[in-house]
Formats: sequence, structure tokens, C-alpha cells
Amino acid sequence: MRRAVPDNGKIAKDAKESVQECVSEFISFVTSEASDKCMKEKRKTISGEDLIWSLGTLGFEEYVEALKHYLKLYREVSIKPPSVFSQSCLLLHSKVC
Amino acid sequence: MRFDTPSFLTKACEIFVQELSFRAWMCANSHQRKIILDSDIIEVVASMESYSFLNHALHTDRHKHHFDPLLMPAKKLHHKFKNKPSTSHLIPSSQHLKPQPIPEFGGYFPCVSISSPLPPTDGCHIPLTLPCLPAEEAYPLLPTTITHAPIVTSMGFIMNNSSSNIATLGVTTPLQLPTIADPNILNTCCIGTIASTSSYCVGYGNPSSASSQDGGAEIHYPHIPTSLQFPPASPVVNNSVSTSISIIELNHIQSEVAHIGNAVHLHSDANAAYAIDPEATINASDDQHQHGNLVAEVIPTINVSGDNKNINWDEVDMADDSLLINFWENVMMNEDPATSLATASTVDLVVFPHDMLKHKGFHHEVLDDIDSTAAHAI
Repeated sequence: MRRAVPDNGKIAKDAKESVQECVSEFISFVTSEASDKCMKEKRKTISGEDLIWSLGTLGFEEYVEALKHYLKLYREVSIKPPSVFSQSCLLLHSKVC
Repeated sequence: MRFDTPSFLTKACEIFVQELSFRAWMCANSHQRKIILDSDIIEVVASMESYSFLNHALHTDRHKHHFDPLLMPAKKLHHKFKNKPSTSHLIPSSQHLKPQPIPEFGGYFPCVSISSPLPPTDGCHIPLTLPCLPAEEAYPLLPTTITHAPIVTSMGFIMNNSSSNIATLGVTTPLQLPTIADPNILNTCCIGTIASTSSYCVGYGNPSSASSQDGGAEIHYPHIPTSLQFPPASPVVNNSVSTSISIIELNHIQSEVAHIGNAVHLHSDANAAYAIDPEATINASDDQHQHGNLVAEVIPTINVSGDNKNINWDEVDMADDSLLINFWENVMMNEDPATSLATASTVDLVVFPHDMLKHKGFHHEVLDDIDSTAAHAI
């Protein structure tokens, strides 16, 4: 959370708690949507693709692009050294923010 | 495993948090603040259509976090009021024994039906004091009458004031009394509190001043009609001098003023029953107008006599003095036959026997407390 805020900014405790609640709700929301999709397709495992689909469905299209890149890099990380991975993540963050 | 889905979801959450934080930061910046408050979060959630699913989560969270303090003793609540940052402190008002509509605050909660955040406290402090507490001093003869103290519900406070109200009404009188949601208590509290000032309020044509409040606190005490004006009472000392009883109708504000006296007991007990700290201070902002409707429901009956004579406020026609006189005579009948109401210059004590209070189920320990306080006051 602090990464998104400039150094001179502060975050109230209430704000952090609110964001925590929001994130919890976000996870539930996205996961339930992905779960519904899997149930419809009679699958028992939620994959990353399902999550990407649900994110797109729920109005987080901008996340989709960034996460696709992340997914791609994540797969490459299993092969490439971790330093590349972290750099790629930072790149993704900057794109998203 | 080809892909670690949980870490993928983690990354998605991270992006979500960053976006939310960034937008909240922009929001805080727009308010010339460097601190992100939860109000900024709420503003962001409200402004983004894709975040609409968070509205419910935030409101639920608010209720969870803000109702709990209301269960705390009133003194703790008092401290919370003092210590919390102004803009982030909300006083939910929805929890009460009897449901009451609470006005929304600003534009932050478009979907909120009940939360009523406390306006930013820019410094208008409304001390809540029981009438019995400043017993050592005579009630000042103030031109202002109705003090829009926070309306204390069974669970907490409802800030019900507006800047204009505060300014006009003079918040700081010791007679400020939290209006309690419970109608039974409400009436008696009004009776208890406003007595001395209200008489003056009447004298000063208070209705105009109170009614000038732009949609300010609206205290609905059903059907305590019009202005029964008794001659202004001499300064009322607790448990000593009889008071005048006046009924003031102020726009939407109707309050029945009676003698404080032992009514304080009733009030205090009511307060105690609802864990209300009479000394609690509530910060009110001058910037905010809250169109609060004090409990629309007023106790239909109030047991003010020892023989369970119910007085239905709705039915009591206070249109003229004679009816009020009759009412009080009935009230006083079993308590003090010697007292008579509404003479031109004398005011009678309204004695609320402890029995009656006990009948109403007040906490005895609080009753003792109040008694001791009142005893000191005498």
C-alpha cells in the first residue's frame, strides 16, 4: 500500500483496515466468479486463466493485461533467475499504477 | 504445477491494493491532506463503478467497527470522541432500541441507509451534562433554549445538530441534555433538561431562533403541541425550586419542558440504562448540517405516577394551559398533593418516585449513583 503512496504521504490506521476489508471482499468476489465458471465447466480446479477471465468479467480489464504479463513472466521465472522476475514485477507495477 | 494460482491471485490483490491506495492518495490530495483516511477509501469506492461491490463490504465493516464502541461505557465513548481524528470518526447512529432513520452524511455513503457519520469536528464541542450535575449552580437564564445535544440511543450517540443550531442555541449550557431515543426517557429528559432554559426560550420567542436552524436538529416529540408558556421560572436549582413548565414548539422541534428536579433521576437513569455518559463530550462540526430526526417514536405512555397511570403523549392535548395543568395534577396526584401546577409565578416540583423508576427497570446501581450525585447537588 505504501508503494502506491508518495513518501510524504501517510495512511491512517482506519484506512488500512478499510483497505484490508476491501481486499478480502475483492478476493472473495473474484474467486467466487472463477468458481462459478469452473462449476459450469464441471471442473474442480480454479486456474489462473479462470481468474483472469473473472477479473475481466468483473470490470478489472486493466488488471487482465498486467496479470497476463505477470503470468507470462512467472512461467519464465521457473526457468530464469529470480532477479529478472523481480524486475519484471516492478515493471508491471509501474504499468498498473 | 504449471502455474501457481494463489500467487497469481496474490499479485492481483497487490495490484488492486496499489490502485486503491493510489486513488485514495489522489483523493486525499484533492482535500489538501497528506494522510489517507478511510473516508478517502470510501470516496474512491463510491466513485469507481468497478468497485461497487465494495460498498457493502465497507458499510458492513463500518457498522462492525463503529457500533462496538457504542457498547462501551459512555466514558470510554467520551474518550473516543476526544481522541479520534476528526474526519475519520463516525458515530453510527443506527443502533437503537427503536429504529430511527438516520440522515446520511455528505455524499460518502450513497448506499448507506443508516450510518450517520459524525461531521468533522472542527471544534464545536457540545458538553453533555446532566442537569443534576451542575446542581451547585443555578441554571443560567439563557436566551437559548433547546440545546441540540447528541441524541443518545440505547447504543450510542446520534449527533443531531447543525452548525447553525449550535451557533444559535448556545451549546455550552450546562443544561444540555442528550436526548435519548427511548421515547419514555425522551420526554422526561426533555422535561428534565430544558426546563429552565426553555422557559426563557419561550420568553425570548425561541421558536424563531430554533426554527431558524436550517434543517438542523429536529427533535420530534410527538405531539407536545404548541407553546404552553408558563412564566419563566426563577433559576432552578436541582431539587429545590419548582420550575416552570413550558411547551415549546419550534418548527419541527417540540420539547416539553418540565421541572428538572427528580426528573433528573429519571433522565440519569435513562442515560445509565443506555450507557450514556452524561458528561460525554461530543464534537460537532459547524460545517455539517444533519437533519436528524430524533426518535420519531415517542413513548406512547409514560409512567409517571405510582399507580401506573399511563400518559399517552399522543393523546394529551396540550393545546392549552388547562390541559397541561390537568395533566400535571394527575401526575402529581399521588406524589405530592400539595403541589399545584402552573400558577403564574410558582412552579412545582415534579417528583418522580424511585418506585416509578424502578418500575421502569433502571439500573439500581446507577440510580444510587444518581441519587448520590443529586444529594450532593442539593
